[in-house]
Amino acid sequence: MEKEMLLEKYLKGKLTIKEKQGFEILLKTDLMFRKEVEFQKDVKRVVTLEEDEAFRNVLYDFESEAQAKEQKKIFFSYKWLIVAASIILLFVLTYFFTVYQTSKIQELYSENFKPYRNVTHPITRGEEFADDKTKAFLAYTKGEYKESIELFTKLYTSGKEPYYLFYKANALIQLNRATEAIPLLQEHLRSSDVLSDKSNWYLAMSYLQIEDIEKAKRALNLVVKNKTYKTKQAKKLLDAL
Amino acid sequence: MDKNALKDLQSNDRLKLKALYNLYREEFLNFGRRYNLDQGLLLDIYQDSFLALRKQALQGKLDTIDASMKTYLFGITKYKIYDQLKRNKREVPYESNLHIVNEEILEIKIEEEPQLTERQLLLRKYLKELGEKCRQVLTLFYYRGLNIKEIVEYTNYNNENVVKAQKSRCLKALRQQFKR
Repeated sequence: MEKEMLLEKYLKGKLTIKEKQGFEILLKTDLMFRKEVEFQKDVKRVVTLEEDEAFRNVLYDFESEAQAKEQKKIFFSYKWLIVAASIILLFVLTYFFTVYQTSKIQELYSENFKPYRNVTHPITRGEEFADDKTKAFLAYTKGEYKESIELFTKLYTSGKEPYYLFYKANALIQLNRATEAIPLLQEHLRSSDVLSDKSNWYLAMSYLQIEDIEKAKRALNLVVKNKTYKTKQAKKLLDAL
Repeated sequence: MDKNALKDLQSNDRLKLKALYNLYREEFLNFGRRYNLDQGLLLDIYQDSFLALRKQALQGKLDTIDASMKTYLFGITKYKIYDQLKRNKREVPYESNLHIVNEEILEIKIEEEPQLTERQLLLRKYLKELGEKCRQVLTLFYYRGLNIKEIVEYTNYNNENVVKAQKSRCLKALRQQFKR
């Protein structure tokens, strides 16, 4: 019993100095005891090794899980980086494409648009007492569109001649106010004015100015169909669009 | 040392142990990189140290330690890092980085166990052949360092005599294997 207690304390490293002396003596004198000490020391060593290895395997698992998580993190941040880069690239491409498209449309517009020349009211040089109508067409011919717009508005209110709408619309387009020109041209189309066959062309020009390609095409198709005014030019423009 | 953390470390709860393992891992790797050791080697050191820490916790050696678990763990890793550096020095001339070391962390030496003797290798084989009951009692007694009374508290055994008898039977079985 005494021996067993000493051995247990020895294995735990808890022998007092006095006990240690007794233990040493036993080791030297008692062969059976020495064998038992060696045996239990070996058992302890082997049991410890087994436990350590089992736990080491657990730690390996922890580590590979930690590394898998890290990889995932890195992958995710890369993934988002790629997504972000793609979105930026898309924006940049869209921007350049839009700029390119816009410049192309604007080019077509300026190539094709010229305000309809005044055929309605020929201006005689040196007219001293000009009436509003003369003033309006004079301003229009001279390129003073703002002034002509005011006068055409006034004249249409009193005179109701549809061609005032047409010239006013032309002046508006020239001043980059196509959105205002469109309803005037549409109204003009409904009248049976001699200039009505030209309205579709200028409607197309208005849509081109505001880059509404679909409506511009529709108007141009009507121009082609009518075969009276700018048919060839309309065809060419349709091809370009 | 933080009682709850120590309890987690002593448990067999995989999630709790994993949480502790991950708790200090990143910081250790940052700490260890100052010594110019590669990540694989540092991870080996971390695992060895964590294992040593748990073993000490299981054997009740940390109950009276005032240092925090992190300080203690880093102390073990620091000893192992220095040991590794000494070994490296033998192979490659190594410029010492020791002056930049965080002095707050004291080295804690953990003795390395020698290779198994032939007898121990045989014993290991016989141990594997024993049943689960034997392994449990022997582990609690020799690895955890519990006494018979504590083993009764820890397990489903009815009383000390049963445990004693079980332990004796197991040791006897091992001894007989050698006599065959």
